[in-house]
Amino acid sequence: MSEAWQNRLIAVLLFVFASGLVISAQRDQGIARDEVVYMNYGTRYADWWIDFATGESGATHKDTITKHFGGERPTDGNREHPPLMKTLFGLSERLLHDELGWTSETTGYRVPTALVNGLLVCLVFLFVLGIWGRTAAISSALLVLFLPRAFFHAGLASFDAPVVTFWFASLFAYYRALQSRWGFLWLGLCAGLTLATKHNAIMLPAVFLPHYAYFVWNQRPEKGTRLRRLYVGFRLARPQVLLGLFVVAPLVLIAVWPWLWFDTMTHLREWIGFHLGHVHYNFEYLGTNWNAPPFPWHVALVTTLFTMPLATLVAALIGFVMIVRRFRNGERNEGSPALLLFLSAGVAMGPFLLRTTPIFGAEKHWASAIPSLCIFAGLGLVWMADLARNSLIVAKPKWHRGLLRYAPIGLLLSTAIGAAWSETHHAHPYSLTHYNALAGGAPGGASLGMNRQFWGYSARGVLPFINEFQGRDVSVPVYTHDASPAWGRYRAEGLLRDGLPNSGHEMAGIRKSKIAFVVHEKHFARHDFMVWEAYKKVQPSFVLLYDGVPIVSVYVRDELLDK
Amino acid sequence: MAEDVPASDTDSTLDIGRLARGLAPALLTVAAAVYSLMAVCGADSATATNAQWGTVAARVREARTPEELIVFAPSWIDPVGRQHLGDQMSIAMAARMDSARYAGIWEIGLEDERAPETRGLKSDTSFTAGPLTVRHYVQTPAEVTYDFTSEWRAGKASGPMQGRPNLSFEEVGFEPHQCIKVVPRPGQTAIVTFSQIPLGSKIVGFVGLADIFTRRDVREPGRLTLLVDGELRTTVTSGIDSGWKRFEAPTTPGIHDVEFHLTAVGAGARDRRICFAAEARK
Repeated sequence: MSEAWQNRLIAVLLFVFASGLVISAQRDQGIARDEVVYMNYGTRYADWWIDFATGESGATHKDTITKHFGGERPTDGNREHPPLMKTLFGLSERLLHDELGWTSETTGYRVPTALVNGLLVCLVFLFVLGIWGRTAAISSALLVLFLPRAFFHAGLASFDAPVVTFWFASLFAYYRALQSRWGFLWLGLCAGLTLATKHNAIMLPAVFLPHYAYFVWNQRPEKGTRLRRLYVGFRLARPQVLLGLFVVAPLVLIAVWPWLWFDTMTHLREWIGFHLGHVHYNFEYLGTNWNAPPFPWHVALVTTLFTMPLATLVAALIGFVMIVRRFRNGERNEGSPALLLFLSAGVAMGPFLLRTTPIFGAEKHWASAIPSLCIFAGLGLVWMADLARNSLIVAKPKWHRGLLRYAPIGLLLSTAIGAAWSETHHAHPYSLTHYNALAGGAPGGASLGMNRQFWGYSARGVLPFINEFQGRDVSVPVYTHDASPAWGRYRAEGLLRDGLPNSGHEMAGIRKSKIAFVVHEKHFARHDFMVWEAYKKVQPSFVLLYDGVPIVSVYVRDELLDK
Repeated sequence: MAEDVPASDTDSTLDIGRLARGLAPALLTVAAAVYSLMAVCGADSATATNAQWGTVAARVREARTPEELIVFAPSWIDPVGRQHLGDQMSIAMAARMDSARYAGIWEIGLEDERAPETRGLKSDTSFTAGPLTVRHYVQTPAEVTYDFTSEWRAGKASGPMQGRPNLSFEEVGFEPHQCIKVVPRPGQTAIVTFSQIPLGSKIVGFVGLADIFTRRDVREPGRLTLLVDGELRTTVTSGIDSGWKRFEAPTTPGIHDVEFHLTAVGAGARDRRICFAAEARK
């Protein structure tokens, strides 16, 4: 088999492995609060696209589109988020669950994210392969897959994993567009799909424009006036790249978002305006509950430091230092891919250094930095192995050549990737509570006052305990706290027995309930206190733990316990 | 990848410094990976099992008198601690003003962790169960001559405020506290007056702003001013991040009038839920 075919085979295997692993693993993950919203709207959007594709009359009428995709208020039709992934969630569920019966409803909705994450692993492999070789490519791809938090997000019907993929695909397409005449169309498509996935995409020009300026600067001829040289440099630097970014990409966004098919500028302004004025949710960081700016400037850096696998982090730092040293030594790659990756990570994290950007989603908000960090790590591993091997050859020339060639890279890859895998495996399915060894694991994270979790997804872990109370009374209403949006879905999935209805919100819901659970986050402490007051006791009957750290407490009324 | 260096071209004299420099990055990464693997493998052994908690609960139950306080350290193990010993804890204990009234304190700590309530105290008994360490402390309890919080109905309210002062079980600084809640009008001062109160040598109290969501949406502070017989004794300002803030003022033993002035500082201080608890102590 030729090398090219081997590489294609590896790319396909990586895609299948990554996607399959996530699809299989997500079955243990609880349903996140926002997922339920995206699933519901996904079904609605998918219905519209099916009507549209089958020529249903009136599908393109303004009122029909508004009914499916928009409305008067800023969150009507979930129009604050672009529709690409939601549409795919809906279509996937329709096909895999409704039509084929291959998956559960929830898995049906989640499959597109898993596939798109598999695509990321595959794209990272292909990008690195073309520049730095196969070993670095495989290492980088596997390190992208084995990240506890990213792996978790890859198993949800939400946008945080997909936007990383499309962001990186845009990087890849831009890099290729610098070398090919028609590459700008791919760039436009990828950047457009990124825009259609999540609003982070509006920052993409901040990655490309400085890089493009540098590229133009490097393309300029040596002779001529300064202006003439720049002009020639610009002409040589395939200026159609800008066309792809600023013309094709917005057209792709509009094409996949019917809500933009009329009153386009108004709807665009409202979409971006919603996020510029986004409410600041509560979020614990280093012992303080943050809900208003100015936020600490180091949130993105420290959180990344504590949530990435430690060996990946160390390899990334060393890889980055090596890249800088090689650059200073005059080593250059065509198109400056390392600079592109650095800008990508910087732009993804940059807004969080400003101290005004909301921080409530932690690592998922700057997750587009992840591929860059993992590629630096993959490169670092290979270069460290080279350095170690060359040093050993010089020091021990009589040692077996095969041993010297393969032992350093084998040891480095197996330990670093093995450690990343073991952390990811261990953290699942409560990855948002997981912190790396540098933080002292989950208990260390709790002691440091890092955020315990969000979205209420861990409630799934207490369902078996709650199910035990079915039938102890005619009805056993449950105060479901942050998991209330997911309650119906748990029942539909067969994870929750009948006769355990959601009792309602806040104190009224707690008073009506016979079982109450509280998902632990610092700002949710008041829910514990409300339950104490209503149940006249402070003792939970069950506490769900991750590595000894409480994540959900379940209270049961004494009269129900006595039955 | 870099090319192999042919052995024949190299100096066979071992250069330790060069070798170390060449191996250091790889060894550092391998060490990080091994450390990480060990942390994952050892994650279970660092946490207390149900059986260990059961042992602790049984022994504490056996030795504890009903008036003794139970605390957990670090604070994040509190839910699992209450799961095993919550039947020994009343809401009043969990929502206490402070720990000064308790003569005995049982502290259940993970490894060497200590609770703030036992700071400066020496334990007279201790035992361990896995990673849990149980310590018992004895202290001279504060003698209370008057508890303003439990006697809140005796307070006369005046001044512009929303509703009336009431005894409330509130989240203040993410902790549970039983307190007198007063909501003065924005920029205004409400007064709660206790007349003819038997005071000791000091008044000790705590004040804070209740409810995380009003703290998020309204950033202005609240202020408590304590007057005894019309004379200013102390002023304490509580901001949105101040938590449950202690105040203390010396008093002359005897019968006196005590006023708590609660101010929602600033015209924007709407729905400023000021919560306070106080005791006159000997």
